[in-house]
Amino acid sequence: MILDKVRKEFPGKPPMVALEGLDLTIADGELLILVGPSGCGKTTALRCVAGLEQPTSGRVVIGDREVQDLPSRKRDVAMVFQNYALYPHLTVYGNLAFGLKEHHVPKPDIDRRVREMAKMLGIDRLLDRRPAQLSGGQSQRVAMGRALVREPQVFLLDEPLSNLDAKLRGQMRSEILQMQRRVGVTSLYVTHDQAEAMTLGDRIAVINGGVLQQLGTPEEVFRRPRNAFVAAFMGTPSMNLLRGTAEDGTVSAGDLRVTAAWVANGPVIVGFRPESLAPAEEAPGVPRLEMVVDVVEELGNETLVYGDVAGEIATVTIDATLPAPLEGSRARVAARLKGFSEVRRGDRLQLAVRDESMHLFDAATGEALAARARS
Amino acid sequence: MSTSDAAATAPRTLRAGRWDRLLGSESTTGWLFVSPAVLVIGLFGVAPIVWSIVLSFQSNDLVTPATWVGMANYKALLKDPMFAASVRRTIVYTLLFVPIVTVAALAVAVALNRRLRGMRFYRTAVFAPVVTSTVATAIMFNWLLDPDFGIVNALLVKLGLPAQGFFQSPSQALYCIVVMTVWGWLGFAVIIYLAALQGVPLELMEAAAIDGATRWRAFRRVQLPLLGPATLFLVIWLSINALQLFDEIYVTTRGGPLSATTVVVYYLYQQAFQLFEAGYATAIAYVLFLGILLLTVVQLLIGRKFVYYRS
Amino acid sequence: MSYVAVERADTLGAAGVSGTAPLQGPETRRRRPSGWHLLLVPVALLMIFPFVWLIITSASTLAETRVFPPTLPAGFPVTWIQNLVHNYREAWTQAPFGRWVLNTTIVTFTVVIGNLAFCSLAGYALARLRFFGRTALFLVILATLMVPFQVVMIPVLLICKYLGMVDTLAALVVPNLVTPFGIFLLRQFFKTLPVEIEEAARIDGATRLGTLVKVLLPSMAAPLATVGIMTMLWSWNDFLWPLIAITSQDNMTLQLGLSSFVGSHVTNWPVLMAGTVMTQIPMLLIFLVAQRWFVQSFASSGVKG
Ligand SMILES: Nc1ncnc2c1ncn2[C@@H]1O[C@H](COP(=O)(O)OP(=O)(O)OP(=O)(O)O)[C@@H](O)[C@H]1O
Ligand SMILES: [Mg+2]
Repeated sequence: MILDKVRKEFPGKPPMVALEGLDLTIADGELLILVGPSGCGKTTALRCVAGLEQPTSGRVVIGDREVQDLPSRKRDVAMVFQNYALYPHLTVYGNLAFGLKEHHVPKPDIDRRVREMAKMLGIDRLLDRRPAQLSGGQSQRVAMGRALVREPQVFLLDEPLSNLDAKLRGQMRSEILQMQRRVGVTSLYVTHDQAEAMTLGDRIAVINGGVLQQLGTPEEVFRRPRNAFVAAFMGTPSMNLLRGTAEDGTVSAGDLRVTAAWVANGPVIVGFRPESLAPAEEAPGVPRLEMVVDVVEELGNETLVYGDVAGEIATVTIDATLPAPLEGSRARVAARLKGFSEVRRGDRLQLAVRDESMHLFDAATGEALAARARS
Repeated sequence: MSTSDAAATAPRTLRAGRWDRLLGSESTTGWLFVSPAVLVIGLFGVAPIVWSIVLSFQSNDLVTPATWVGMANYKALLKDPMFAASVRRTIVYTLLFVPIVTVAALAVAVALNRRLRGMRFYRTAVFAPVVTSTVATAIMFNWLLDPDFGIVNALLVKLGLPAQGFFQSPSQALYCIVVMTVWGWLGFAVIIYLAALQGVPLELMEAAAIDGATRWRAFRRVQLPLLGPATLFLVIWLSINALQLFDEIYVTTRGGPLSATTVVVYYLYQQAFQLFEAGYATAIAYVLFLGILLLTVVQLLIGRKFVYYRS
Repeated sequence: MSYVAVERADTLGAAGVSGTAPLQGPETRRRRPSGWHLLLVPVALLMIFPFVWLIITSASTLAETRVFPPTLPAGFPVTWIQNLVHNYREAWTQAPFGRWVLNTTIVTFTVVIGNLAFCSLAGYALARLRFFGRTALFLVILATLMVPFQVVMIPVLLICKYLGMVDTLAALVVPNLVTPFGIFLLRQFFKTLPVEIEEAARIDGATRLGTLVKVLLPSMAAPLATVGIMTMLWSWNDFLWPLIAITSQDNMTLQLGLSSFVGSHVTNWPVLMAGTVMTQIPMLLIFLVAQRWFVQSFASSGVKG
């Protein structure tokens, strides 16, 4: 399945551009995750594929057909909605059978396929219930079943787990993955939860402001973010980003000194993940910085430490609703330390930054400077 | 980056759905869906509105060719004492009918909004006139209020009061119409109030009770203000219908006795279908329309001041 | 999940406007007779009495209605029943009531079906489909909703005359096949429905019409009942329009026929009352059976309309 320069404007003054020429190619049977902050156009992209929105320009190709002018019903796609959108007046059986009936599948086949699918999803005992009598997890399964039973060419999911509680979400996540593998259907899965994206997808497409930021395997996107946005968006807590300057092969940001011979002189952004920080005594000889501890979160097997360091933080607007850090405040950095830590609020902590996980970005464009800062 | 992939695949993709774009488009479907409505409402709703404007500027008996008379119909209307009298009667009727129905319905609705024995009976009794036709209502009351053999006069006599003329008395006929239509409309108004009362959250009344309010005060201060929107709707709706009173008059008094019940619409009917003054009748209709609009706007404005809307 | 608006309508119907009322306030706990009966008993009697007297009169002889003060007809129950049978037979033979029932049923049935179908289509399109001129069209429909019938009745009559429909049942049916009220009410309801269910149906392969018929309408019992019941009542009881559109006795509706019956029987009260009872029984029966739906319909049409 291919999205080719798909552009979508919503009428208005000025027109609201939800997608700015999105290009995506999804291999047969692949599960591609579309991830990005709220309002970045994920749902819009999905709806353009489903035929619920007409792209302003660009092509949508499914299999060997260009479908952007086709109505939904002729596209051979199926979709799982965030609120499930089950037909309230039909039983679970009726919900599963609806699409097959609309496609004039012979009655005995419908019955067989519905029952098989119900069995596979473990909802065969619910077939006579109505949606109002289902729990969230059950509704979720029915919604999936309704989509998959049609054996569509493309399977679309729009934040299917966001209405479930945390525990159920984990369970359903792996169930979705299993089902997708089993059926082997080309799938596009939308989420704003980057953790979900990391665990689920063959590949991840990170979108921001209607523009594709990076497309790659979870590992690529996480380890080699193409720009500061992707770096900041993937992972919790976010990657720490400090403003710095490069001069004669050395980048300095606050206390931090990194050698990066290929970087041209000028302002840069230095990024490092919280988990690549370690107490200095454990890793001698690597770049260091000093943190004044502010908040300590004990998680048992690890400790999250937030504190201030010298230097200036670089802010990447992920969600415009979040307040920007105060001007001139010291830079806030997060560290993920192994095991139980004795750190207290107010402590001055010497931290080492493991070199190989250091990222450098152009201060103006946010583009990654080379793939990774290797010393 | 995947652009090149897309470009590579382009030649062998089939471009589907040019026809679908045209035929299946929302625009086409939309117009198809509204077309029966457009046809019927256009022909019997919109066209007649325009036509009747033209009619009201004509002298037209619907048989011989019409002549254009400009504003003559409207001017004549202003000087027509019969019309003025019919307007006065309509106003008197409306001023009695609307408040009586509203207040009575409020009391009955509050009473019906509880759990009492015999509630089914009470409700059915109050609602049944709603489905009774105006013609049947008029016939029933004509008999109940018959001056010679009617049961109401019998009761009056039994109580030592003189028998009355009712529909046959020029001074009483209009009030009899009021009584009759109040009977016919009470159920509707009660339903509206009951629905509104169900919308008042029980917690509000309980909160008021906990705050130490007596039941009357709780009703006055909590429930009544929340019934504002329903009251406004009712007053407007009842007024619109009161101004268009016709059926009951046609069946009972035919505008008599001595024109005592010739209200605006009955006068309009006489002009149009007994005197064949279609142009003049239409002018009356437009003046009526204007009156209804004006009254509704005024009521809405007053309502906005006093009615408190939640949410 | 279920639709918000359906839920609200259901509460209204089930919770109390009809049937059993919900617990209301502290007074429900008390067992001694409530003072409210003092208000309700006389009101209920006043509301019921005209019906009672109507039926009693239709069980009288002509002579018994010609005495003052009136009394209950003699000979309960045998003579009553004989009188009843006699009076109803008289009414039935003196005027074509059977024909009128048939006419009214045909007209009402067609108008109700027409409104359910066409108002659904139009209401759905106006709520959901983006098409050129939609807003303008909706405003025009709203405007016609406000114009009183008296303004348009003469031109409508002329149009019907032109189309050759005057004095036929078509004149009663065609102009009322679609009502702005129905369109407006259903449009408002469609607006409250979650759009995803429709989208799911379209992705599942349904056309717009299929979505409307198979997915939306089946779960819209409440608003459809409102439109159906309101147009049924309106069409069954309408008087002014039949009065001017119908002239021959054979094409009259029940209400018009009944009013013409008054003219010729103004002094024969028992037979007139029998005729009146006959015209009211169908609607009253339907009302008694479906009281809950009637009440809910009135309430929701009132609240929104
Ligand atoms: N029908 C519409 N009309 C106008 N603007 C719209 C419409 N639908 C979406 N938008 C706008 O397009 C942008 C993208 O919306 P979209 O729903 O695709 O975001 P999203 O990535 O799915 O966000 P979320 O994670 O909150 O669901 C948003 O800014 C939104 O306001
Ligand atoms: Mg979304």
